[in-house]
Amino acid sequence: MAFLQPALLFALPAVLIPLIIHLLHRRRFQEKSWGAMRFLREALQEKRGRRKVRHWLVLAMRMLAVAMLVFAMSRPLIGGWLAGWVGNGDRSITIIMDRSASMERKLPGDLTKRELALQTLSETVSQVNPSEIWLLDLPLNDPNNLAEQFGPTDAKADLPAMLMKAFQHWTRTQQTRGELWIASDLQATSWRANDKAAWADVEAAYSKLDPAPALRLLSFPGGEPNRSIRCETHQRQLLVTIQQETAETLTIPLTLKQGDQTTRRDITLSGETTTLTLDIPSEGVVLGEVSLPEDGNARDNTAHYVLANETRPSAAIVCENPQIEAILSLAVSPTGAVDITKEATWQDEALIVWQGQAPDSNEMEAYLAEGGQLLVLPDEQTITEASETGLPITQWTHDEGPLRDTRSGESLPLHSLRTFRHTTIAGDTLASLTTAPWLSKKNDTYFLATLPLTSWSNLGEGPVLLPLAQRLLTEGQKRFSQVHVSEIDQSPWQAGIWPNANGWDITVRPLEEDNLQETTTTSLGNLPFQEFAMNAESQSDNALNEWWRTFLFLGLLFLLAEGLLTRMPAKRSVTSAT
Amino acid sequence: MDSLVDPQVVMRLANTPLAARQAMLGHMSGRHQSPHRGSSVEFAEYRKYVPGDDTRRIDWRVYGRTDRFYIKEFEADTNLRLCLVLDTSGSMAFGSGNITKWNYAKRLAATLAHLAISQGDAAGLYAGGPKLHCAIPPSRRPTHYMALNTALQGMEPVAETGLTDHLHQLAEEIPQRALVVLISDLLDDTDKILDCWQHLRFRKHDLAVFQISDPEERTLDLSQPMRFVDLEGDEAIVAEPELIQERYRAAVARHSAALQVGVAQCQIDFHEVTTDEDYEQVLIRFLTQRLGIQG
Repeated sequence: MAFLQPALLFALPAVLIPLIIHLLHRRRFQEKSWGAMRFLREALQEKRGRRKVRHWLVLAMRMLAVAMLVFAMSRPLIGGWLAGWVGNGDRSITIIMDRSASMERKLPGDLTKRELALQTLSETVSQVNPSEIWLLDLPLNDPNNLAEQFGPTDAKADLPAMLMKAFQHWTRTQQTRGELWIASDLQATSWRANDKAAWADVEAAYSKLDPAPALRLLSFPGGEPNRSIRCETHQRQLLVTIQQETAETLTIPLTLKQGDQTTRRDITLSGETTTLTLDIPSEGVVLGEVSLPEDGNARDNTAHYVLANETRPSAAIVCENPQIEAILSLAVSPTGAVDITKEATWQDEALIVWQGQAPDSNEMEAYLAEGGQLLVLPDEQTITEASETGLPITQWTHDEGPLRDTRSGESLPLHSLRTFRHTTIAGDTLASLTTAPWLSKKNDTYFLATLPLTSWSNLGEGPVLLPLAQRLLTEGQKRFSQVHVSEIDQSPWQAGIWPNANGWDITVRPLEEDNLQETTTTSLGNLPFQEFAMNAESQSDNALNEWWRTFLFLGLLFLLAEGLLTRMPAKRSVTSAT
Repeated sequence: MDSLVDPQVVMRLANTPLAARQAMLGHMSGRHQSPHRGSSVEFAEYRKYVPGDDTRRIDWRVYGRTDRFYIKEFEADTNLRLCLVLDTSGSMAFGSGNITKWNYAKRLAATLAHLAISQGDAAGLYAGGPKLHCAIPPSRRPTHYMALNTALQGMEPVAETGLTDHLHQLAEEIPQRALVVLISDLLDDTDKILDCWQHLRFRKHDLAVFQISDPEERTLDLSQPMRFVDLEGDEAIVAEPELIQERYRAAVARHSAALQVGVAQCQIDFHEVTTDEDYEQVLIRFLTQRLGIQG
C-alpha cells in the first residue's frame, strides 16, 4: 500500500487518543462514600467478563475509527498505477511519452490514447507532487504544460532508444530517488520487440544504475476499430493501399483531393489489405491527398501525394554479350519507356548495368552518391563453382532492398531460380545460395553472382530479373524527381507536403505505424516494468486507485459500531422485587 | 423540645395512639391488652371460686341463680414497652439529599419515643455496634424522654456494626414482651437478618421494622465513573454506574425480595422507607396500620 500524503501518517499515534482519554477518564473519577457496597459487588461480579469484552470492543472501535481517518487523510493507494509509491515530494519523475501515430488511436470514451495518457499523467503528477519532473532530459516547470509538450505526431517511436536516453540522463544528473514513467500503447514496432540486441543493451544500462529507478508503465492496449491509408505515385497514377484490422468485406467512401478539386467515390475493401490504382488525368503539377472516413485513429486516414512533371528515365547496359544485353534491356524497359544506351555517362542514367570489373572513378562515386543505381554482373570467364542440377537460393532479405516482398506481402519467386554457375562476390549479402552469396551490396553497388544466361542460371526467364531491374531503375530515377518522399524523422513530426528549392518534400507516416501488433513487457526481457493497463473502462482517476473513500467509510462504520455497542442495553435480569 | 422532634408533627400524631399488635406484659395499668386478668371494665370470663380468691370478686347474681360460687374475671390493661433499636452501622451515614439515613432514623426514633411516653407507655433505646454502647431500658417517666433524646443526639454511626449479633443479644436481654422497633438500612446478609427476626418473634416480641434507604442508593442513578468508598471500611470500588446500573438494581430487588420472605414468615410489621419521604407520613401509615390490625 502506498500513500500520497505519507507525512500525515505521523498522526497515526492519534489512535491512542481514545485510550488516553479512557485512562484519564478513569483517573478523574469522583470519589463517593457509599453504603450499599454489597450491591455494587454483586453488580460488578455478574457477567463481568462479557461487560469487559464489550468495553474493550468499544475502545477498539474508537481507536480503529481514528486510524481509518488518519489513513483516509494520508490518501492510500492500493494497486493501480502508483502501487508502491512512497512519495513525500522528494522524488523526481522522468516521463517518457510515446507520441507515435498509433497513440492517436481512440479508446472507448472518445479520448485518444495519448490524450488519456496526458490526462492521467497530469493528474498523477499534481497529486504526488514530485520534487522535479523531466521530459526525458528537459525539465518541466509546470505539470499543466504536459499537453502542450506532448502534442500529436505522425512519427514512430523508438522506446529502447528513449529508455537509453533516460538512463543516461539519470546517470548524468546523479539522481538517487526517482522514477521513470512511461506511457505507451506497447506497439511492437515502437518497442522493437524483435530486436533482442537492443533490449540486451537497455537491460545492461539499467543494471548499471544505482539505485535503479522504478519503471512504471502506463499501457493502453486495444482501441477503436481502425483503417489506415498510404499512397505512392507512378507516372500519372496513384497506387493506394488501405489496411484494416479485420478481413471483412465492406464498402466505404474514399475522398480524393486534387488541388482544389475534391471527389468522392465508394470503394470496396476485401481482406486486410486492399490496393487501388487511381488515374489522375490532370496535367502538370498536382498536389493532393486521399482520405478515409473517420475511424479509430484520425492520424492515419489521409495520405498526401504530388504529381510532378517526370523526366524520361534512361539506363546504360554495358556488356559485350549481346544475349545478355537483350535480356537486360527487356527487363529494364519492357515497354520501351526507358532510353537505353551502351555507354555510361555517369550523369543522366537512373541505372547502369555493368558486366565485369566496374571502373573505380570519381564520376562513379559521384553518381552513386547522388542516388544512381549500379548493378555489376560477373565476367563469363570467372566461374568459381558449377552445379549440373542448379543451386537454389535458400534465403534473401524480404523487408528491404531490390528483392523485398511486394506491397501486398508476397515474396518474389526466388525459390524457383536455379544457378548452375556462379562466381564469388563480396559485400552485405542480400540473397544467398547454399554456400555462397547470390546478390550483395557494397559501397552502394549491387553485385550479382550469376548471369541471365541459360548456361549460368534461369534468371533470364524474368520473374525475378524484371522486378529487380525495375526497382533499381525506380530508385535511381528518384534523383531526377521534383518530389522527395521520406518518412518523418524530424520536427514538426507531421505528415504533409512541404515545398523546397527543387520541388516538394512529402513526409509520410512510417510504415511501422500501420502495424498494430502489440507486445508485452515480459517478452522484452527482464526489466522490472510495473505495468498498469488502462482498459476501456479506465478513467484517469482509476489509475491512481485511491482508497481514501473506503477508509473513510470504514472509519464511519467503526464509529457506528462504537455507537451501537455503547447504546446496547444490558440483558435485563428477570429478578424483581415483589 | 429540641430539633429531633417536630412539635407540630407530634401534635398531629397525638390523636393516633401507638398500639401493640399483641398482648403486652406490664407492671402498670395502661391502654394495652395484657395476658393477665385484671380490673378493667371489659368482661373476660367466669371461673369457679377456689379458696384464696378475693371474696369481693364473687358474682352474687350467678350464686343466686345457680347456688355456686363463680368468680367474674375482667381483661387486664397494661402499659406497652417500646424498645427502639437503631442500626449504627457506617452505611447509615449515607445521604444523597438533605438528610442522611441516620438522621432520618433518629427523627423516627425520637418521635416514636415521645409518642409512647406521652401515652403512658415505656420507651427504651438500644443502639450500637458489636459491643452494645447504648442500652437505655424502657421507662414511662416523662423525664425519661429527655434521657432518650440526649442519647440520640449524642450518637453517630460507627464504621462497622454487628447488627444481627446486637439483635440476638436484645432478644435475650429484653425481659418481657415488648414492641421492638428496628430502624436500619438492613444492608446485611438476609439470612442473618431473618434469623434475628425469628429469634425476636420466638421471644414473643412484637417486631416492627423500618428499612431506611436513600433513593440514590436504590437506583444508582449516577452518570459518571465513580470511586465508591465503603462507609464501613477501607474498600473502594471503581465503576461506571451507567454500565452496571441494571444489574445493581436487580441486586437491590433480590435483596428486597429475600427480606419480604422473612417478613411474611415472621409476621413482621415491615415498612420500606426512603429518605425523600416525609417521616410524618411514614409514622401516620405505621400508626394507623397498627390500629387496623389490633385484635
